[in-house]
Amino acid sequence: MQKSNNPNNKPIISLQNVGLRYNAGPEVLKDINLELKAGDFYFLTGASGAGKTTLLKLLHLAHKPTRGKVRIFGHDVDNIKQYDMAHIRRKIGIVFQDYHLLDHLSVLDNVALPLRIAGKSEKYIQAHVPELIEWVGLKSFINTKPKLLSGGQQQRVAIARAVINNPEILIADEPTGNVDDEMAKKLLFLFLELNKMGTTVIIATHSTNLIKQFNFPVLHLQDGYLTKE
Amino acid sequence: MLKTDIAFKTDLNKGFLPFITAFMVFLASITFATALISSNITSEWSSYMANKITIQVLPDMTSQKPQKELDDRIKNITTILKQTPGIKSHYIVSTKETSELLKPWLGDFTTDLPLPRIINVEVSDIIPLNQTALKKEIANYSKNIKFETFDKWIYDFKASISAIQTLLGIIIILILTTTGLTICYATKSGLNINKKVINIMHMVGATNKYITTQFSRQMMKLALLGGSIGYLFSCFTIFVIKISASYLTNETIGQFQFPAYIYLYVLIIPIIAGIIAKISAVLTINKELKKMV
Repeated sequence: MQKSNNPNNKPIISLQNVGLRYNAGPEVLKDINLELKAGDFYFLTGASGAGKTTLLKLLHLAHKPTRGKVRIFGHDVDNIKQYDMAHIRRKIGIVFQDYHLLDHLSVLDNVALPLRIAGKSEKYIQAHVPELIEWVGLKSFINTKPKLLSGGQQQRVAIARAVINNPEILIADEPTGNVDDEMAKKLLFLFLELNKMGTTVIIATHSTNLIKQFNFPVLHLQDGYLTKE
Repeated sequence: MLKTDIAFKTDLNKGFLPFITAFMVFLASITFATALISSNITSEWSSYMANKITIQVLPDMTSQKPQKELDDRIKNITTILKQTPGIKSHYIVSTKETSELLKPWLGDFTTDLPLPRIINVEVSDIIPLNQTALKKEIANYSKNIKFETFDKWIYDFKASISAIQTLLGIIIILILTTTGLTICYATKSGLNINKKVINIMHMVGATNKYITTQFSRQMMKLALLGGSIGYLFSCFTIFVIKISASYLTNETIGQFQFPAYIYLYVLIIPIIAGIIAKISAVLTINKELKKMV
Protein backbone atom coordinates (compact mmCIF):
# COMPACT_ATOMS: atom_id res chain seq x y z
CA MET A 1 0.00 0.00 0.00
CA GLN A 2 2.69 2.48 1.05
CA LYS A 3 5.48 3.73 -1.10
CA SER A 4 8.97 2.66 -0.15
CA ASN A 5 12.11 4.77 -0.21
CA ASN A 6 13.71 1.82 -1.96
CA PRO A 7 11.14 0.55 -4.45
CA ASN A 8 13.32 -2.34 -5.64
CA ASN A 9 13.32 -3.95 -2.22
CA LYS A 10 10.97 -6.72 -1.26
CA PRO A 11 8.86 -5.96 1.81
CA ILE A 12 10.41 -7.10 5.08
CA ILE A 13 7.05 -6.78 6.81
CA SER A 14 3.71 -7.27 5.18
CA LEU A 15 0.24 -7.22 6.71
CA GLN A 16 -2.69 -8.42 4.64
CA ASN A 17 -6.28 -7.86 5.78
CA VAL A 18 -5.15 -8.08 9.38
CA GLY A 19 -7.63 -7.83 12.20
CA LEU A 20 -6.89 -8.13 15.91
CA ARG A 21 -9.11 -8.33 18.93
CA TYR A 22 -8.32 -9.00 22.59
CA ASN A 23 -10.20 -12.08 23.76
CA ALA A 24 -13.91 -11.63 22.97
CA GLY A 25 -13.69 -7.84 22.74
CA PRO A 26 -14.23 -5.68 19.67
CA GLU A 27 -11.62 -5.55 16.91
CA VAL A 28 -8.88 -3.09 17.80
CA LEU A 29 -7.28 -3.29 14.37
CA LYS A 30 -9.40 -3.75 11.24
CA ASP A 31 -8.41 -4.74 7.72
CA ILE A 32 -4.85 -3.51 8.00
CA ASN A 33 -2.81 -3.70 4.83
CA LEU A 34 0.77 -2.56 5.09
CA GLU A 35 4.12 -3.24 3.49
CA LEU A 36 7.35 -2.03 5.00
CA LYS A 37 10.56 -2.22 3.00
CA ALA A 38 14.18 -1.79 3.99
CA GLY A 39 14.94 1.89 4.39
CA ASP A 40 11.35 3.04 4.92
CA PHE A 41 10.65 5.72 7.52
CA TYR A 42 7.11 6.25 8.82
CA PHE A 43 5.44 8.15 11.56
CA LEU A 44 2.41 6.48 13.06
CA THR A 45 -0.24 8.74 14.48
CA GLY A 46 -3.70 8.40 15.90
CA ALA A 47 -5.71 9.37 18.92
CA SER A 48 -5.16 7.62 22.24
CA GLY A 49 -6.72 4.18 22.08
CA ALA A 50 -6.68 4.13 18.26
CA GLY A 51 -4.54 1.00 18.32
CA LYS A 52 -1.03 2.38 17.67
CA THR A 53 0.61 0.32 20.41
CA THR A 54 -1.30 -2.77 19.31
CA LEU A 55 -0.11 -2.34 15.73
CA LEU A 56 3.48 -1.92 16.94
CA LYS A 57 3.11 -5.08 19.05
CA LEU A 58 2.02 -6.94 15.92
CA LEU A 59 5.12 -5.70 14.15
CA HIS A 60 7.51 -6.98 16.81
CA LEU A 61 5.70 -10.30 17.28
CA ALA A 62 4.26 -9.58 20.72
CA HIS A 63 0.81 -10.40 19.33
CA LYS A 64 -0.49 -12.61 16.59
CA PRO A 65 -3.34 -11.39 14.37
CA THR A 66 -6.84 -12.70 14.97
CA ARG A 67 -7.33 -12.76 11.22
CA GLY A 68 -5.33 -11.97 8.11
CA LYS A 69 -1.68 -12.65 7.41
CA VAL A 70 1.47 -11.11 8.87
CA ARG A 71 4.83 -11.92 7.30
CA ILE A 72 8.09 -10.69 8.80
CA PHE A 73 11.44 -11.38 7.12
CA GLY A 74 9.74 -14.04 5.04
CA HIS A 75 8.21 -15.86 8.03
CA ASP A 76 4.49 -16.30 8.44
CA VAL A 77 3.93 -15.35 12.09
CA ASP A 78 1.13 -17.89 12.49
CA ASN A 79 3.56 -20.76 12.01
CA ILE A 80 6.71 -19.28 13.43
CA LYS A 81 8.88 -21.29 15.83
CA GLN A 82 10.20 -19.76 19.06
CA TYR A 83 13.81 -20.04 17.86
CA ASP A 84 13.02 -18.18 14.61
CA MET A 85 10.92 -15.66 16.52
CA ALA A 86 13.88 -14.88 18.81
CA HIS A 87 16.20 -14.40 15.85
CA ILE A 88 13.70 -12.14 14.08
CA ARG A 89 13.32 -10.07 17.24
CA ARG A 90 17.08 -9.54 17.29
CA LYS A 91 16.68 -7.72 13.98
CA ILE A 92 14.04 -5.45 15.50
CA GLY A 93 14.89 -2.64 17.87
CA ILE A 94 11.94 -1.70 20.05
CA VAL A 95 11.41 1.33 22.25
CA PHE A 96 8.48 0.61 24.53
CA GLN A 97 6.21 3.40 25.69
CA ASP A 98 6.86 2.41 29.30
CA TYR A 99 10.55 1.66 28.58
CA HIS A 100 10.56 -1.97 29.89
CA LEU A 101 14.00 -1.68 31.44
CA LEU A 102 15.33 -4.33 33.80
CA ASP A 103 15.42 -2.69 37.22
CA HIS A 104 18.12 -4.93 38.65
CA LEU A 105 20.59 -4.12 35.86
CA SER A 106 22.67 -0.97 35.45
CA VAL A 107 22.26 1.35 32.49
CA LEU A 108 25.26 -0.33 30.85
CA ASP A 109 23.86 -3.83 31.35
CA ASN A 110 20.41 -2.81 30.11
CA VAL A 111 21.85 -1.36 26.93
CA ALA A 112 24.19 -4.35 26.53
CA LEU A 113 21.36 -6.89 26.93
CA PRO A 114 20.57 -7.37 23.20
CA LEU A 115 24.29 -7.77 22.48
CA ARG A 116 24.72 -10.37 25.22
CA ILE A 117 21.66 -12.23 23.97
CA ALA A 118 23.11 -12.11 20.45
CA GLY A 119 26.30 -13.65 21.84
CA LYS A 120 28.60 -10.64 21.37
CA SER A 121 31.85 -10.68 23.35
CA GLU A 122 32.40 -8.55 26.45
CA LYS A 123 35.21 -6.83 24.58
CA TYR A 124 32.76 -5.79 21.85
CA ILE A 125 30.24 -4.70 24.47
CA GLN A 126 32.79 -2.59 26.34
CA ALA A 127 33.89 -1.00 23.09
CA HIS A 128 30.41 -0.02 21.86
CA VAL A 129 27.96 0.33 24.75
CA PRO A 130 29.64 3.12 26.77
CA GLU A 131 30.07 5.13 23.58
CA LEU A 132 26.34 5.00 22.82
CA ILE A 133 25.44 5.74 26.45
CA GLU A 134 27.66 8.81 26.27
CA TRP A 135 25.98 9.82 23.03
CA VAL A 136 22.52 9.76 24.64
CA GLY A 137 23.92 11.90 27.45
CA LEU A 138 23.99 9.34 30.25
CA LYS A 139 27.73 8.83 30.68
CA SER A 140 27.63 9.76 34.36
CA PHE A 141 24.77 7.28 34.93
CA ILE A 142 26.41 4.30 33.27
CA ASN A 143 26.39 2.20 36.45
CA THR A 144 23.09 3.56 37.79
CA LYS A 145 19.99 1.41 38.12
CA PRO A 146 16.99 2.59 36.03
CA LYS A 147 14.79 3.27 39.06
CA LEU A 148 17.15 6.09 40.06
CA LEU A 149 16.75 7.78 36.66
CA SER A 150 14.09 10.27 35.53
CA GLY A 151 11.48 9.26 32.94
CA GLY A 152 13.39 11.01 30.17
CA GLN A 153 16.65 9.37 31.15
CA GLN A 154 14.99 5.95 31.20
CA GLN A 155 13.58 6.66 27.76
CA ARG A 156 17.06 7.37 26.44
CA VAL A 157 18.32 4.11 27.94
CA ALA A 158 15.46 2.29 26.18
CA ILE A 159 16.38 3.98 22.89
CA ALA A 160 20.05 3.09 23.30
CA ARG A 161 19.06 -0.53 23.96
CA ALA A 162 16.87 -0.55 20.85
CA VAL A 163 19.58 0.71 18.52
CA ILE A 164 22.71 -0.88 19.98
CA ASN A 165 22.43 -3.98 17.80
CA ASN A 166 22.00 -2.02 14.51
CA PRO A 167 18.48 -3.37 13.97
CA GLU A 168 16.97 -3.82 10.52
CA ILE A 169 13.70 -2.44 11.85
CA LEU A 170 13.32 0.17 14.57
CA ILE A 171 9.93 0.44 16.21
CA ALA A 172 9.45 3.23 18.70
CA ASP A 173 6.35 3.98 20.72
CA GLU A 174 6.38 7.66 21.72
CA PRO A 175 10.20 7.74 21.95
CA THR A 176 10.40 11.45 22.56
CA GLY A 177 7.43 11.81 24.88
CA ASN A 178 9.51 12.46 27.98
CA VAL A 179 12.52 14.32 26.64
CA ASP A 180 13.05 18.00 25.94
CA ASP A 181 12.88 19.37 22.40
CA GLU A 182 16.65 19.46 22.06
CA MET A 183 17.04 15.81 23.04
CA ALA A 184 14.00 14.82 20.95
CA LYS A 185 15.65 16.35 17.89
CA LYS A 186 18.93 14.64 18.70
CA LEU A 187 17.25 11.25 19.06
CA LEU A 188 15.34 11.73 15.81
CA PHE A 189 18.62 12.45 14.06
CA LEU A 190 19.93 9.17 15.47
CA PHE A 191 16.94 7.37 13.98
CA LEU A 192 17.55 9.20 10.73
CA GLU A 193 21.17 8.08 10.66
CA LEU A 194 20.08 4.49 11.20
CA ASN A 195 17.49 4.91 8.44
CA LYS A 196 20.19 6.14 6.06
CA MET A 197 22.07 2.91 6.73
CA GLY A 198 19.00 0.94 5.67
CA THR A 199 17.08 0.53 8.91
CA THR A 200 13.32 0.67 8.53
CA VAL A 201 11.95 3.09 11.11
CA ILE A 202 8.41 3.38 12.35
CA ILE A 203 7.69 5.86 15.11
CA ALA A 204 4.39 6.26 16.92
CA THR A 205 4.01 9.85 18.04
CA HIS A 206 1.57 12.58 18.93
CA SER A 207 4.05 15.32 18.15
CA THR A 208 2.92 17.23 15.10
CA ASN A 209 6.07 19.37 15.35
CA LEU A 210 8.24 16.31 14.87
CA ILE A 211 6.19 15.12 11.92
CA LYS A 212 6.35 18.50 10.23
CA GLN A 213 10.04 18.89 10.91
CA PHE A 214 11.12 15.59 9.37
CA ASN A 215 8.52 15.32 6.61
CA PHE A 216 8.32 11.53 6.39
CA PRO A 217 5.16 9.68 5.35
CA VAL A 218 2.56 9.34 8.06
CA LEU A 219 0.40 6.32 8.83
CA HIS A 220 -2.76 7.26 10.61
CA LEU A 221 -4.90 4.96 12.72
CA GLN A 222 -8.49 5.83 13.30
CA ASP A 223 -11.12 3.51 14.73
CA GLY A 224 -8.83 0.57 14.00
CA TYR A 225 -8.35 1.42 10.31
CA LEU A 226 -4.97 2.40 8.91
CA THR A 227 -4.63 5.15 6.33
CA LYS A 228 -1.66 6.90 4.81
CA GLU A 229 -1.55 10.69 4.86
CA MET B 1 28.66 -15.93 29.42
CA LEU B 2 28.68 -15.83 33.19
CA LYS B 3 26.65 -12.70 33.66
CA THR B 4 23.02 -13.22 34.61
CA ASP B 5 20.26 -10.95 33.28
CA ILE B 6 17.53 -12.42 35.43
CA ALA B 7 16.58 -10.74 38.70
CA PHE B 8 17.58 -13.51 41.07
CA LYS B 9 18.50 -11.00 43.73
CA THR B 10 14.89 -10.42 44.57
CA ASP B 11 14.04 -14.09 44.24
CA LEU B 12 12.89 -15.97 47.32
CA ASN B 13 14.65 -19.07 45.95
CA LYS B 14 17.97 -17.60 46.88
CA GLY B 15 17.47 -18.48 50.51
CA PHE B 16 14.98 -21.33 50.20
CA LEU B 17 16.72 -23.51 47.63
CA PRO B 18 20.17 -23.76 49.30
CA PHE B 19 18.49 -24.49 52.64
CA ILE B 20 16.27 -27.28 51.34
CA THR B 21 19.09 -28.75 49.23
CA ALA B 22 21.47 -28.64 52.19
CA PHE B 23 18.93 -30.49 54.31
CA MET B 24 18.21 -33.11 51.62
CA VAL B 25 21.90 -33.64 50.84
CA PHE B 26 22.62 -33.99 54.55
CA LEU B 27 19.96 -36.72 54.89
CA ALA B 28 21.03 -38.51 51.71
CA SER B 29 24.73 -38.31 52.66
CA ILE B 30 24.15 -39.73 56.13
CA THR B 31 22.04 -42.53 54.63
CA PHE B 32 24.68 -43.24 52.00
CA ALA B 33 27.43 -43.22 54.65
CA THR B 34 25.39 -45.70 56.72
CA ALA B 35 25.15 -47.99 53.68
CA LEU B 36 28.91 -47.70 53.10
CA ILE B 37 29.74 -48.39 56.76
CA SER B 38 27.41 -51.42 56.84
CA SER B 39 29.04 -52.69 53.66
CA ASN B 40 32.45 -52.24 55.25
CA ILE B 41 31.33 -54.08 58.41
CA THR B 42 29.90 -56.93 56.32
CA SER B 43 33.09 -57.46 54.39
CA GLU B 44 35.28 -57.21 57.51
CA TRP B 45 33.19 -59.60 59.55
CA SER B 46 32.75 -61.97 56.64
CA SER B 47 36.47 -62.17 55.97
CA TYR B 48 37.14 -62.54 59.71
CA MET B 49 34.53 -65.28 60.19
CA ALA B 50 35.34 -67.05 56.96
CA ASN B 51 38.77 -67.89 58.36
CA LYS B 52 37.45 -69.44 61.55
CA ILE B 53 36.56 -73.07 62.29
CA THR B 54 35.39 -74.34 65.65
CA ILE B 55 35.95 -77.96 66.59
CA GLN B 56 33.86 -79.19 69.49
CA VAL B 57 35.20 -82.35 71.11
CA LEU B 58 32.47 -83.97 73.22
CA PRO B 59 33.43 -86.14 76.21
CA ASP B 60 32.73 -89.88 75.95
CA MET B 61 30.74 -90.64 79.08
CA THR B 62 30.88 -94.41 78.48
CA SER B 63 34.64 -94.32 78.97
CA GLN B 64 36.18 -95.38 82.33
CA LYS B 65 38.31 -92.25 82.44
CA PRO B 66 36.43 -89.67 80.35
CA GLN B 67 38.74 -86.77 81.19
CA LYS B 68 41.92 -88.62 80.19
CA GLU B 69 40.24 -89.98 77.08
CA LEU B 70 39.16 -86.40 76.15
CA ASP B 71 42.69 -85.04 76.70
CA ASP B 72 44.13 -87.80 74.49
CA ARG B 73 41.72 -87.02 71.72
CA ILE B 74 42.52 -83.30 71.97
CA LYS B 75 46.20 -84.16 71.74
CA ASN B 76 45.61 -86.26 68.59
CA ILE B 77 43.50 -83.56 66.96
CA THR B 78 46.08 -80.84 67.65
CA THR B 79 48.77 -83.07 66.13
CA ILE B 80 46.67 -83.41 62.99
CA LEU B 81 46.01 -79.66 62.92
CA LYS B 82 49.73 -78.89 63.19
CA GLN B 83 50.47 -81.16 60.23
CA THR B 84 47.63 -79.95 58.00
CA PRO B 85 48.54 -77.35 55.36
CA GLY B 86 46.23 -74.32 55.36
CA ILE B 87 45.92 -74.11 59.16
CA LYS B 88 47.39 -70.86 60.37
CA SER B 89 46.93 -71.42 64.11
CA HIS B 90 44.73 -73.12 66.64
CA TYR B 91 43.76 -72.41 70.20
CA ILE B 92 42.38 -74.90 72.72
CA VAL B 93 39.79 -73.18 74.87
CA SER B 94 40.37 -74.31 78.44
CA THR B 95 37.61 -75.90 80.54
CA LYS B 96 37.74 -72.86 82.80
CA GLU B 97 37.19 -70.48 79.83
CA THR B 98 34.30 -72.63 78.56
CA SER B 99 32.74 -72.57 82.04
CA GLU B 100 33.09 -68.78 82.15
CA LEU B 101 31.40 -68.49 78.76
CA LEU B 102 28.47 -70.66 79.88
CA LYS B 103 28.18 -69.18 83.37
CA PRO B 104 25.62 -66.48 82.39
CA TRP B 105 23.23 -69.22 81.24
CA LEU B 106 24.08 -72.18 83.48
CA GLY B 107 25.34 -70.53 86.67
CA ASP B 108 27.92 -72.22 88.88
CA PHE B 109 26.87 -75.75 87.89
CA THR B 110 29.13 -75.73 84.83
CA THR B 111 32.07 -77.22 86.77
CA ASP B 112 30.02 -80.38 87.43
CA LEU B 113 28.88 -80.78 83.83
CA PRO B 114 30.66 -82.82 81.15
CA LEU B 115 31.54 -79.82 79.02
CA PRO B 116 32.88 -80.26 75.50
CA ARG B 117 36.32 -78.94 74.73
CA ILE B 118 36.55 -76.32 72.02
CA ILE B 119 39.39 -75.78 69.61
CA ASN B 120 39.32 -72.48 67.70
CA VAL B 121 41.13 -72.86 64.40
CA GLU B 122 42.29 -70.02 62.20
CA VAL B 123 42.62 -70.84 58.52
CA SER B 124 45.41 -69.40 56.39
CA ASP B 125 44.58 -66.71 53.84
CA ILE B 126 47.33 -67.90 51.54
CA ILE B 127 47.38 -71.72 51.64
CA PRO B 128 44.02 -73.33 50.80
CA LEU B 129 42.59 -75.77 53.32
CA ASN B 130 40.88 -79.00 52.30
CA GLN B 131 38.15 -79.02 54.95
CA THR B 132 36.60 -82.34 53.85
CA ALA B 133 39.93 -84.15 54.12
CA LEU B 134 40.58 -82.57 57.52
CA LYS B 135 37.16 -83.60 58.83
CA LYS B 136 37.70 -87.15 57.60
CA GLU B 137 41.15 -87.43 59.16
CA ILE B 138 40.00 -86.10 62.53
CA ALA B 139 36.99 -88.43 62.47
CA ASN B 140 39.40 -91.39 62.05
CA TYR B 141 41.08 -90.53 65.32
CA SER B 142 38.18 -89.34 67.32
CA LYS B 143 34.43 -89.75 67.55
CA ASN B 144 31.94 -87.32 69.09
CA ILE B 145 33.28 -84.32 67.24
CA LYS B 146 31.42 -81.34 65.85
CA PHE B 147 33.13 -79.45 63.09
CA GLU B 148 31.60 -75.98 62.64
CA THR B 149 32.20 -73.17 60.17
CA PHE B 150 30.36 -69.81 60.02
CA ASP B 151 29.18 -70.13 56.41
CA LYS B 152 25.48 -70.12 57.21
CA TRP B 153 25.87 -67.34 59.74
CA ILE B 154 27.80 -65.25 57.19
CA TYR B 155 25.17 -65.97 54.52
CA ASP B 156 22.32 -64.84 56.83
CA PHE B 157 24.28 -61.81 57.99
CA LYS B 158 25.06 -60.75 54.42
CA ALA B 159 21.41 -61.21 53.41
CA SER B 160 20.25 -59.02 56.33
CA ILE B 161 22.77 -56.29 55.55
CA SER B 162 21.88 -56.48 51.86
CA ALA B 163 18.19 -55.95 52.70
CA ILE B 164 19.08 -52.96 54.88
CA GLN B 165 21.27 -51.52 52.11
CA THR B 166 18.43 -51.88 49.59
CA LEU B 167 16.17 -50.01 51.99
CA LEU B 168 18.80 -47.28 52.42
CA GLY B 169 19.12 -47.06 48.62
CA ILE B 170 15.36 -46.57 48.29
CA ILE B 171 15.50 -43.85 50.96
CA ILE B 172 18.30 -42.06 49.06
CA ILE B 173 16.28 -42.25 45.82
CA LEU B 174 13.23 -40.86 47.63
CA ILE B 175 15.26 -38.01 49.14
CA LEU B 176 16.81 -37.10 45.78
CA THR B 177 13.42 -37.34 44.04
CA THR B 178 11.94 -35.00 46.65
CA THR B 179 14.89 -32.66 46.04
CA GLY B 180 14.16 -32.72 42.31
CA LEU B 181 10.46 -32.00 42.84
CA THR B 182 11.28 -29.19 45.26
CA ILE B 183 13.61 -27.66 42.69
CA CYS B 184 10.85 -27.94 40.05
CA TYR B 185 8.51 -26.03 42.36
CA ALA B 186 11.17 -23.45 43.24
CA THR B 187 12.01 -22.99 39.56
CA LYS B 188 8.35 -22.51 38.71
CA SER B 189 7.92 -19.88 41.41
CA GLY B 190 11.18 -18.24 40.30
CA LEU B 191 9.89 -18.04 36.75
CA ASN B 192 6.66 -16.43 37.94
CA ILE B 193 8.58 -13.87 39.96
CA ASN B 194 10.76 -13.08 36.95
CA LYS B 195 7.94 -13.18 34.38
CA LYS B 196 8.32 -9.52 33.44
CA VAL B 197 12.08 -9.89 33.05
CA ILE B 198 11.66 -13.00 30.90
CA ASN B 199 9.09 -11.20 28.75
CA ILE B 200 11.51 -8.32 28.15
CA MET B 201 14.29 -10.78 27.35
CA HIS B 202 12.04 -12.51 24.83
CA MET B 203 11.24 -9.12 23.27
CA VAL B 204 14.90 -8.26 22.76
CA GLY B 205 15.56 -11.62 21.10
CA ALA B 206 16.40 -14.13 23.82
CA THR B 207 15.76 -17.73 22.85
CA ASN B 208 14.18 -20.09 25.35
CA LYS B 209 17.54 -21.87 25.44
CA TYR B 210 19.28 -18.65 26.52
CA ILE B 211 16.80 -18.07 29.35
CA THR B 212 16.87 -21.73 30.33
CA THR B 213 20.66 -21.70 30.51
CA GLN B 214 20.69 -18.63 32.73
CA PHE B 215 18.00 -19.92 35.03
CA SER B 216 19.20 -23.50 35.27
CA ARG B 217 22.77 -22.33 35.88
CA GLN B 218 21.53 -20.26 38.78
CA MET B 219 19.46 -23.16 40.12
CA MET B 220 22.45 -25.50 39.86
CA LYS B 221 24.68 -22.92 41.57
CA LEU B 222 22.23 -22.58 44.46
CA ALA B 223 21.77 -26.35 44.70
CA LEU B 224 25.55 -26.90 44.72
CA LEU B 225 25.91 -24.24 47.42
CA GLY B 226 23.24 -25.98 49.52
CA GLY B 227 24.72 -29.37 48.63
CA SER B 228 28.16 -28.30 49.82
CA ILE B 229 26.75 -27.07 53.11
CA GLY B 230 24.80 -30.33 53.53
CA TYR B 231 27.91 -32.32 52.66
CA LEU B 232 30.06 -30.50 55.21
CA PHE B 233 27.43 -31.01 57.90
CA SER B 234 27.16 -34.70 57.05
CA CYS B 235 30.98 -35.08 57.20
CA PHE B 236 30.97 -33.40 60.59
CA THR B 237 28.16 -35.70 61.77
CA ILE B 238 29.98 -38.82 60.51
CA PHE B 239 33.12 -37.64 62.29
CA VAL B 240 31.20 -37.13 65.56
CA ILE B 241 29.64 -40.62 65.21
CA LYS B 242 33.11 -42.03 64.52
CA ILE B 243 34.49 -40.48 67.69
CA SER B 244 31.46 -41.69 69.69
CA ALA B 245 31.71 -45.19 68.20
CA SER B 246 35.35 -45.49 69.23
CA TYR B 247 34.10 -45.61 72.86
CA LEU B 248 31.66 -48.41 72.02
CA THR B 249 34.18 -51.20 71.42
CA ASN B 250 32.59 -54.58 72.00
CA GLU B 251 34.46 -57.90 72.16
CA THR B 252 31.80 -59.65 70.11
CA ILE B 253 31.18 -57.09 67.39
CA GLY B 254 34.57 -55.38 67.53
CA GLN B 255 34.90 -51.73 66.63
CA PHE B 256 32.95 -49.89 63.93
CA GLN B 257 35.22 -48.88 61.10
CA PHE B 258 34.91 -45.45 59.44
CA PRO B 259 37.43 -45.53 56.62
CA ALA B 260 38.48 -42.17 55.18
CA TYR B 261 37.14 -43.06 51.72
CA ILE B 262 33.58 -42.69 53.08
CA TYR B 263 34.01 -38.88 53.10
CA LEU B 264 35.11 -39.03 49.46
CA TYR B 265 32.35 -41.41 48.35
CA VAL B 266 29.67 -39.30 50.08
CA LEU B 267 30.85 -36.34 47.97
CA ILE B 268 28.91 -37.88 45.08
CA ILE B 269 25.61 -36.94 46.78
CA PRO B 270 25.94 -33.11 46.43
CA ILE B 271 27.21 -33.62 42.88
CA ILE B 272 24.13 -35.73 42.07
CA ALA B 273 21.97 -33.08 43.77
CA GLY B 274 23.53 -30.41 41.53
CA ILE B 275 22.86 -32.49 38.41
CA ILE B 276 19.28 -33.19 39.54
CA ALA B 277 18.83 -29.45 40.14
CA LYS B 278 20.05 -28.68 36.64
CA ILE B 279 17.86 -31.34 34.97
CA SER B 280 14.77 -30.46 37.04
CA ALA B 281 15.24 -26.75 36.32
CA VAL B 282 15.77 -27.29 32.58
CA LEU B 283 12.66 -29.50 32.27
CA THR B 284 10.50 -27.08 34.28
CA ILE B 285 11.77 -23.96 32.49
CA ASN B 286 11.28 -25.48 29.03
CA LYS B 287 7.73 -26.43 29.94
CA GLU B 288 6.91 -23.03 31.45
CA LEU B 289 8.58 -20.93 28.74
CA LYS B 290 6.52 -22.63 26.04
CA LYS B 291 3.45 -21.19 27.79
CA MET B 292 4.99 -17.69 27.95
CA VAL B 293 5.99 -17.19 24.28
